[in-house]
Amino acid sequence: MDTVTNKKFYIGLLLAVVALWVLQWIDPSMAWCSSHAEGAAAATGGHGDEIGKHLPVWSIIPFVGILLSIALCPLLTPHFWHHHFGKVSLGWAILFAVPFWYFYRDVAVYNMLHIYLIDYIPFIILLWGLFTIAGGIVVRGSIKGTPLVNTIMLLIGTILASWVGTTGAAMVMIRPVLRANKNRENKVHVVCFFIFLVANIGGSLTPLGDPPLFLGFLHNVPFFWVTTAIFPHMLLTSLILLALFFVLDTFYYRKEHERLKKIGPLEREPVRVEGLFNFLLLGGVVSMVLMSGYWKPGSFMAFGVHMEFQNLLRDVMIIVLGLLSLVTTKAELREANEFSWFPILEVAKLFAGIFMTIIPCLAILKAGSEGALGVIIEVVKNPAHYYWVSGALSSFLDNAPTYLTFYNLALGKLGLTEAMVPGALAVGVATTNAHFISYLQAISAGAVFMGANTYIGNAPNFMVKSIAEESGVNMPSFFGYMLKYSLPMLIPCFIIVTFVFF
Amino acid sequence: MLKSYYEVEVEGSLDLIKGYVLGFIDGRKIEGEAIFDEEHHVENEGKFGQLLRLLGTKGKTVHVIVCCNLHDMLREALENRKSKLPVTIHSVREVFGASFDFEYKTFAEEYGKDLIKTFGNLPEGLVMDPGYEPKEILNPDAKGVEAYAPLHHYEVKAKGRIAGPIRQVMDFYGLVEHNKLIELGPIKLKYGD
Repeated sequence: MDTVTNKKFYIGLLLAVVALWVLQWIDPSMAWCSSHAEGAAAATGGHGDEIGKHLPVWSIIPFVGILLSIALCPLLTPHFWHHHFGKVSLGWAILFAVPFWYFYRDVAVYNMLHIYLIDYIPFIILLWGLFTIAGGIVVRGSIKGTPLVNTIMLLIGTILASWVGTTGAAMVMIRPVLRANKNRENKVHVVCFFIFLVANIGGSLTPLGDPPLFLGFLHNVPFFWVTTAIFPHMLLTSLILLALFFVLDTFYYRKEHERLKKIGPLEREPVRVEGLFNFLLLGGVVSMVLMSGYWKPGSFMAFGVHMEFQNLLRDVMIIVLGLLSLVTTKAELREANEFSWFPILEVAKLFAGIFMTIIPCLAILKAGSEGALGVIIEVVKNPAHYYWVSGALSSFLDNAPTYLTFYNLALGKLGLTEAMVPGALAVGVATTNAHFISYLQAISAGAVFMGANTYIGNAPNFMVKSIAEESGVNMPSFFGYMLKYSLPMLIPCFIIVTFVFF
Repeated sequence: MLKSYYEVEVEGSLDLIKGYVLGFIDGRKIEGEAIFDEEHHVENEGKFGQLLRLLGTKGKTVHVIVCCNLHDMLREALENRKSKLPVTIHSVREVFGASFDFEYKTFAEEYGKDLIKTFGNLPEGLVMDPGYEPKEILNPDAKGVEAYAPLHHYEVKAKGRIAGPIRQVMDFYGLVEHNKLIELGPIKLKYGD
């Protein structure tokens, strides 16, 4: 990303703030939805806790718009999108923010500050920290890509994903996998299963693994809840897929064995992991996230938003750990990973828009049957519905906002608040809510697993596809990936998970 | 001097015909070759023929491409065995040449240069039909890893048709057919009549 584009983005952001400041001197006398605004303000005492009962359903159009832009623009207009995605994100954000602020004033400002301070900033800091630290770990050397070696590499990546994030694990593992299979004729399936396992399903065991689970953690889901609650689902899915991969890879390997013998072996280089210090820093990130979940030193108010000291400390420490990684890791290691800030800039710009536009969606869903989307609550009834609906949407839209949307849908349906979540998820106590546990298992598994269904389901999918293509792998098209890989291999696996667990 | 090739269309099972023809060549110590269409991506049947075969109005046929007047010897030998072997020769046609369509695309510069070189320096006897123009696109600002806005730093794509004598066409086809970056169409034969 060139500096000129960055400047334009920040100028745009500044203009939006100035526009808001100017608009506050204009009297909100237009009838856009002032009756709703007055009702909301009166009902909420200024903080807008019940704003979802008053917001119209079409206020989520910018949210749908930004998600569709992320899903479709890289496929339909890759050049335009590559150069202007920040502006598109800003455009959708302004489309919601300006009218929202104009009619809801203090309530709107509070909601915007709340989502940015509580969700967006910690989310970006964690992704930045994991991306920076994982970007300093390099696996060098080359091994022969036999079916057993490939299966073991996929297994290592799957385990790693829950601890360094799916993006970090994909970045660290994809090049060794491609090097090992350089001479193989059939290697598309290796990359596709890598997307299934390392870039998606492997990230389901901790909030560090996949962004939706970290959003859950920020909204009071205990750190280790997913580790125990999703482990059986993840284990079954991973075992089926690894076994399927082994069989498929063995079939292809045998088919091309004679040709491989003719071209001779690859030049071998012993496998070694460099930048090991970064594992220590990753341990630091895990400790900080854990600390913020269990230590409660107190809270303070920032711009009217209630914030916890432990969360502030966590975010500051993750930044420190990331900076330590930058200082201590040799530049050549980052070069070997083709490390750049572009992926984080992409996330920062796009999620700035997503978090702004998701405000009405979350508020309406929190309002439950009293909100404009009450009909969805009636339709999505049991855990299997939550699994498939959150999964199907995560396949085509980004899974982080999808998770948050369905998390709020479940809260709204059961009449729970976020403060009640730890109690509802605790096992064997009076506050245990078995319905909420099964809903959240379904939402977590659906959002994380089914991100693998398409290239656009999760950010690392596209990254892996792109790196593989630049290494000479003829990756299938968007629909080719679905028809040849995800539909015949993943969907039956997810059906089995549904019958076993939901 | 180029060898003359003939396509012999025989009705019967592939295994039987293959065994017979190869045994015939070895037994008579003939210096010739037999190419079985099914094993070499040779297109020999139109959609209508496939439909007729599916409907059962046309039997299974094998197309064998032979050289060095082997077709005459084979015809004679099979005629002699007519009563003992369930095979029938339907036609014999001289093959004047062959061609195939290809298409390639890659985002790897290393492989892209190789592809341009491979299709730019065809073996003697092979010709590229007009219209082949590999397009290389460079996006200098797309270098590095991207997640949500992927764009490739390098891209090359091309398509065309290669034609020439059947042996050379088949050898070149065999050379490139294992490269998954290249999509190949079937080999089409050009007949004398």
